[in-house]
Amino acid sequence: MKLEPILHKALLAGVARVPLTPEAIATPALQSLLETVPAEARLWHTIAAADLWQRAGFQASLDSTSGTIACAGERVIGRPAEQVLQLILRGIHPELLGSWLAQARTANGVLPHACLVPMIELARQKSALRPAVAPLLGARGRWLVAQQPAWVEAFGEDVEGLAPADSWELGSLAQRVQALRALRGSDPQAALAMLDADWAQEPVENRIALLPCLATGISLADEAFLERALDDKRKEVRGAAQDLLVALPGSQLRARCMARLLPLLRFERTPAGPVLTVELAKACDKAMKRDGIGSVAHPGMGEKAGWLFDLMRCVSPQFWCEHWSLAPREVIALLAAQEFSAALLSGLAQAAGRALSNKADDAAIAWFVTLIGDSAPRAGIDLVGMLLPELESLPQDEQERIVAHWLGESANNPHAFAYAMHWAGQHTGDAAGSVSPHMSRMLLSHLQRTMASMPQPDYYLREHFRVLSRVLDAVELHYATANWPREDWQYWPQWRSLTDDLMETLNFRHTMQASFLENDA
Amino acid sequence: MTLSVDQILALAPDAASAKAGSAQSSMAKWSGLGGHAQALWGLCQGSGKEPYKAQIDLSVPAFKCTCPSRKFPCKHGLGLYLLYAREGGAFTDCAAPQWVSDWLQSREDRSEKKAAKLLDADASQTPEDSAAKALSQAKRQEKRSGNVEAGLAVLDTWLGDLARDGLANLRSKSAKDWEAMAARLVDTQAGALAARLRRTGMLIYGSSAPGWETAVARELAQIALLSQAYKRLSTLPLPLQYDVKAAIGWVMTNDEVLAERSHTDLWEVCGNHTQDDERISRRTCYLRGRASGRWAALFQFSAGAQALPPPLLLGTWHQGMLHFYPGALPLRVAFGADVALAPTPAPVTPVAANITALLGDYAAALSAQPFLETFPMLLEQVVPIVSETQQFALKDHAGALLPIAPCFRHAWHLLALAGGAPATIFGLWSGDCFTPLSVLVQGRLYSLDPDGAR
Repeated sequence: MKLEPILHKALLAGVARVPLTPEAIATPALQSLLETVPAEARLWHTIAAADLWQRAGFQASLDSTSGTIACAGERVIGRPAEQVLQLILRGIHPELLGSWLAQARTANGVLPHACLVPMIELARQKSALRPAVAPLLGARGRWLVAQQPAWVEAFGEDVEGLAPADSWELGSLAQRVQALRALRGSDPQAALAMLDADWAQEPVENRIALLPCLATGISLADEAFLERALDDKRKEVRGAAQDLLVALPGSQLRARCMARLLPLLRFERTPAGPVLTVELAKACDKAMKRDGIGSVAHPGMGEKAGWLFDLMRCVSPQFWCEHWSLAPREVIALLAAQEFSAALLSGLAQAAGRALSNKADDAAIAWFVTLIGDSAPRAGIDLVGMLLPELESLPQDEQERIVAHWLGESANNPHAFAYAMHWAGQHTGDAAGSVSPHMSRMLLSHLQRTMASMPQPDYYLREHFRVLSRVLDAVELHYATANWPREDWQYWPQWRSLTDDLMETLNFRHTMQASFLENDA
Repeated sequence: MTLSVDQILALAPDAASAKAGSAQSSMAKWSGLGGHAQALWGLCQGSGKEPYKAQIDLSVPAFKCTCPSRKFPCKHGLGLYLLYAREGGAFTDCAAPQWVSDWLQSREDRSEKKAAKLLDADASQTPEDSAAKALSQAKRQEKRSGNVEAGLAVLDTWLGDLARDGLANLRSKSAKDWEAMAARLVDTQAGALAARLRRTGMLIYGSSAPGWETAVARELAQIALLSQAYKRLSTLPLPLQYDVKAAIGWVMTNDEVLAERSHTDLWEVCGNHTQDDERISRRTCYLRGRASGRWAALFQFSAGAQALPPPLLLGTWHQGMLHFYPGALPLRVAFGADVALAPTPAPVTPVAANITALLGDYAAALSAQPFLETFPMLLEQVVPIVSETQQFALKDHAGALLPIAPCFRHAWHLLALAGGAPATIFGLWSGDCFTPLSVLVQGRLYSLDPDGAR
């Protein structure tokens, strides 16, 4: 409703200050009508009449803009899967949203139109979701996002065509990081030149955020720039440059570290077997510090042992095999027998993990498997715990072989099952595949055996139930209904809700997986 | 008749019940599942020794369960229905067990008794009884009229004071004045007007939106107009008298409405509109007669924290007799005893909406019933659009625009569903903006109830 200025003024200031007479009203029809109305009721009656007048005479305006363009048809995820997503959005198993999105991506479909707005809003609020949601927006979603500035801002980095073309010059830091990473993927040298050109003027936060982007497509051509970054004023920037150079095969930093390390390790072959004598560096000079040696303290190690660790982690494990003509297992045994085994083995494990994530060739896999395969601590060092995050870099069958080996050792090593569960937990965001049927049976049967020996669940076992409900194979659930304790088991009351929740989640996942295969009803 | 999973979940009283109901829809939880054309039943093992007996009358649908939950329908009822929707084959088609047939029989008996009571009420009364009843009713009405007049006199004075002082300083004053005036109206039996006054107060004290004074002025003007109309009630046309009295707070009993004229048709549920104020929750279910094209609105209420009864499900069809509350534009209805779910008929070809013509219909309706707050509109083949200033509108084939209410929360959702293409949209026109309640896109109906669960 639009009020005449005099009416609006009288409404706000009151008729005591702004008297309302029929003559003051601009609309002639209202003037005659209001003459008969008592003064005390005139304001409200005038407004009521004006309101009715405007409502009854509402004129539809004509669209003068070019309007919106209907977007082309596309392959939208089917109704059964949409219904599952609607349930997730209603709060039924929200933890499986990532799994639904991954399966939708695998099914090569786009988000159902009815779920676009809630998903876009959710991804706007949770930036971690955006990379998973953005590819599923489809033409309809991108069309929608493009019309809402808040969504453009949130999705500009993830949705092609939404980020400004000149985002490197004008974009936010996140957009600049995205632009640099994208260019590194297609033209690493051009990206390096772009970064190099602006590097001196970049504020500290930008340098810290931008430098790690060089990990994409890194080569020796980046070395000169990274070497300069080793002299940066900020520790974080120097640390990022050190990490990149340590991971760069053939880098001068690695060569320098090896040159410092080799004199400290004296290797001899004796009739009793290989002997290694280890010395610690006497001092950490400026050049060593520049290369990141001694830049951080390592808990549980002395200062000089820490330098040894820093040097060891810069040398590829395969180097020791070639240098000493020993197999990986022999190198590990040799290092484990040393006084400073913690520094040596930990550094070796970090180098092995990095080598695997850089390039999973046969040598890297062999080293990694040797280090992680045995779940028992070596020389008191939890190598498995150190290497677990890198385990997913191994081929799937290799991972499962190692985990199966751990489960076999679990009777003797209390940590083995925890390692296996940690590995299983890494699959919680995966698509349908999760854990293979064979491994699912093994993990579940181990859980069932553990459960049968306990009167009530402890904290860890509750967590294991939760993890397994999300990663066990849900394509065929027959195996999951077998081998539970008998119905008359005395401790069922303490375990019932846990097992019910596990089965309910597995059933939900089973329905979810099947829904992607069903056609619309 | 079977409902879809979405429709069943829409019956849940709240999101927690929907979640719990979904968790109950697993075969492992149920035994003794059975069903026939009229009902479903099953036994669900809960925390008690005996399993809960859950049963559903499919014709309404109505639920009953032996669990102690105060939510209705409970998670077991929802779970049973969801299980039927997903795994109908697990329900053996057989004769109902005694506990189910007893319940169905009791429902049938109650329904028959209700119908018989209506018939008996007229038949058994002697002329003397009727005269005595009419006399007593007239006395009550007279007393109430006196009360209402007294309340409206105070209201007029209060409105006069408000007009004299203006609205500019209202926000710096306490809301107690408004509450006291509303309480006074409740005391003088003008409950509907009191509720409207409270809602108007919320526009001042419960919102920081710009332009609030215009919305408040509009409501206060309507209240003043109603007060004035009541004083001249006897001079108004009889149907309009009912509207004025209803807007002030006169309530007709269900029996009185069932005695009013009725209309039989096949009714489609076009949309639900849920509104929540601090005391009363209200849902209006809008229906449209297939043969007559007539609009009807079924009101559902709940007080305090109580959940609303299950809604009429969007897109379902109901065959039967609806009794209209009297008024200049009869819209509110009570369901006759014969109303039951009916199969979905074949769709009819949509006729493109003409916004200008619909606005003409609205103007005519307003001239008959100037206290009309909202007007149901079905707009076929209109395109939802958004301007660069983020204002939403519906555009018909001629390019005429109908603005969408700025407070409508699902405008982007509507845009996503239509995708710039024509769609059929049902909603309410308030005279200056349109609130969509449902949209039909490519044969699928979506709810856009602003305050209800989608």
